[in-house]
Amino acid sequence: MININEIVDIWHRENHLQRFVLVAVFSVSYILFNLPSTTSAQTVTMKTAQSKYNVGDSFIVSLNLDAKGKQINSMGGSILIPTQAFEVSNIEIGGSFISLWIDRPSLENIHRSSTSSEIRFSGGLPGGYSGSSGNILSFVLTALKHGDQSLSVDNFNAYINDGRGTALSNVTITKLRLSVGNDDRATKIVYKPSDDTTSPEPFDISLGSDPTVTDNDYFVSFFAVDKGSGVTRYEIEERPWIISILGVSKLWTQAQSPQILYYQKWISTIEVRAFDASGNVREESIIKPFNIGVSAYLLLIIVVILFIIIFPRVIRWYNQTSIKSIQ
Amino acid sequence: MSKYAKTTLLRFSLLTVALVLPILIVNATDPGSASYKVIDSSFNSVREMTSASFGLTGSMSQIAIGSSTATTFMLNSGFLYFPKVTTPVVTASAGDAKVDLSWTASEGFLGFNIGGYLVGQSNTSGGPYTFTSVGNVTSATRSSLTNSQPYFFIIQAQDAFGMVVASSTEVSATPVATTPVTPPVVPPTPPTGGGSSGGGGGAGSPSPAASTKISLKGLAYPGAKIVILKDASIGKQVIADSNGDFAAEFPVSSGIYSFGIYALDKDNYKSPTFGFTVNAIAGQSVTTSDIIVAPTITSDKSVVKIGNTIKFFGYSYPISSVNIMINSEKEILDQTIADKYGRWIYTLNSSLLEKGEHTTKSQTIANKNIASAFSSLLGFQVGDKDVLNTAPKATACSAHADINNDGKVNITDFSILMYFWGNTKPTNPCADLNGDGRVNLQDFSIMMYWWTGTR
Repeated sequence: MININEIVDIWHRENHLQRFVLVAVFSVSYILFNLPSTTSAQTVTMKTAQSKYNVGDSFIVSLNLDAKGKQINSMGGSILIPTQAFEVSNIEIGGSFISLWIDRPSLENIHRSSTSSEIRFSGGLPGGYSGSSGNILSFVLTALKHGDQSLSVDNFNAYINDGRGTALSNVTITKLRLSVGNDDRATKIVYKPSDDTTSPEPFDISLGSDPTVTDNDYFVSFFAVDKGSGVTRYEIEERPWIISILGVSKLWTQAQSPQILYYQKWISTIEVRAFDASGNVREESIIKPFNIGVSAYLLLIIVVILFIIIFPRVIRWYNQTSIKSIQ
Repeated sequence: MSKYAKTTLLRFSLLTVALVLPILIVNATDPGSASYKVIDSSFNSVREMTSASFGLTGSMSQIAIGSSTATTFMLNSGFLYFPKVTTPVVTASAGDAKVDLSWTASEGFLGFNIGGYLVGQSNTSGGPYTFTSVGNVTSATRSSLTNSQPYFFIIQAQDAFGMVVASSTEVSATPVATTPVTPPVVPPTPPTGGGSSGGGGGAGSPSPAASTKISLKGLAYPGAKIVILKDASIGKQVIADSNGDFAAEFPVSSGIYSFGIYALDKDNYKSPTFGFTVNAIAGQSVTTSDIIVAPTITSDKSVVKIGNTIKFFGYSYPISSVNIMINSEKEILDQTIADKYGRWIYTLNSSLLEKGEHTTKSQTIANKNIASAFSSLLGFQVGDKDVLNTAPKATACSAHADINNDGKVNITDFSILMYFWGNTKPTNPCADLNGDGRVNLQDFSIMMYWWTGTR
């Protein structure tokens, strides 16, 4: 049996070529054996239908995650797009595997500087995603300037679904390189989003209060998903019972979860509307009860009123009964 | 032997050693001892431990931890109790002359790296299948199929060397010609401007195409409460039957749906949430079968006196094998069987471990070799005295991301987290779930792990 001492001995006796062959064979076999671990890094890529466009073309870019079997339950980052080269004309999250958005990407939330437009995103899903081609979000670009351009993803962070917030390391992020021409004769490519006539999915509204959130004020929490163009905004209306007959209401206003309620003490119906990018709407409602202090106060008033009404009658009845018994 | 022949033999041997040496070096989990190594211990679901030159179809093993040790040798547990990679859960969506397949990724343990997947296709249930390698992806489309003809598929996961290490159960789909889908009723759309739009109308009506639905079928524990999260909201709650099986159906619109499934066992212990996505195609019924819920796990002691025994127990699929993995300086892998009620118990002699902190987790291997993900990680200590595992003491902050301590981890907790988002040392310290002084994505990840929805 050959042991390590013999290998060392042979190493000293063989010539340079043979040593080279030995090292090469060793290295290749070592690399081959370790290949699975070196190729198992998660990847974030941006994809387009083609790599060459012309000025004026509009096209969709999808940001995808290949989780390589890891259950990833939250992620965030920024997409950087050269401001001079492209205009972001739409952002679509309807096809995303992300359920809960912390930083929901939208046209309103684009951070623009002289050099780049930045689409920020962060969110996640319970249980995590482990697939190979999950869509995080998509956005539509219109080419403004010819030349070679590149889009990049910055500050990407992702965490494993292990309950300890373990960060993924060594995520491979590839830039998207696009060549934009200036061919006036070419047929313009125009991205046309698919028709979305479906309302966002039904959603829950949750009423809560917490001593640490604006002094225990009531707030409502909500989120909706839309499988078409994606939810873009919410509106809320508060209709206090009884006094709303007099026209007292907090009419529809833009809302964001958590939304602190206007009528903190009064019983009211709270309605929330979720709008998708195509204008379809879903409306849900919840009833906020009186708060305990007001309830107790009202109960006291009712008891006092009842007392005022009933007590004289009881006295009268008692007196009459007493007189009759004396007679 | 001539000098030339001797040198040639040495060169040949040198190359052989050079090829074999990396295998010896890099795989620390190969079972062996100082005098021997098992270097080809890849497991196959059909023939356990095979290679071109040998096949091991049966072996002697200890019947309990430590029972096969002696002064001259020691058989490490784990040699025969290698954890399986998780089985892919497959969804087949039929289209026009095609079937879209997607599956959950197999997760490897202890040296198993998934190298790719094979799609097996057949015209008859049970095969034989024609296999196509699709690479290390979790979706594939089989096209040029005949409409109205049922097709049957299985997915096989391969390790880095192309060995099949897990096989899904069979799914079927029947491609159908595309028919125009009647547009759903469009609800009245209020003005989309920023201001108020008047109260009342505008409510959208449910609009899934009547025939578009997602069916989920899976394996849990008898009587377990199965909570199915659909896009982070509770879609349904069902009770597993006496066999531990469950099923649920969702009428949906077309689109990609993120599901998360967890179980609460009879003792109210929660399994980890198993997440996967399903692409629903308009007018199609999509079925995802053999979703296997990971077992629950707890222990009778939180600290065990060294030399005493500690019991780990929980619920699993009835009459299934339960792999136990003890993470310590010397990893212990062992197996037990769940009873017909799904209850499993495993007793560990702590003398096998060193003093200090340890963790354990379990994994269900149900019939047809379907392997679950691992249970939650359970911590315990080996020390100088036994301490019973009692209910955790009430603390100001829940250990499980329930910021407002209402017994649920839901959108209200998420809202509180958002309220303090980005804060350093928030006024509500419970919002800083990992206690690192900042409310950030790491805290959100922990919340997603413990998410229950509003139940």
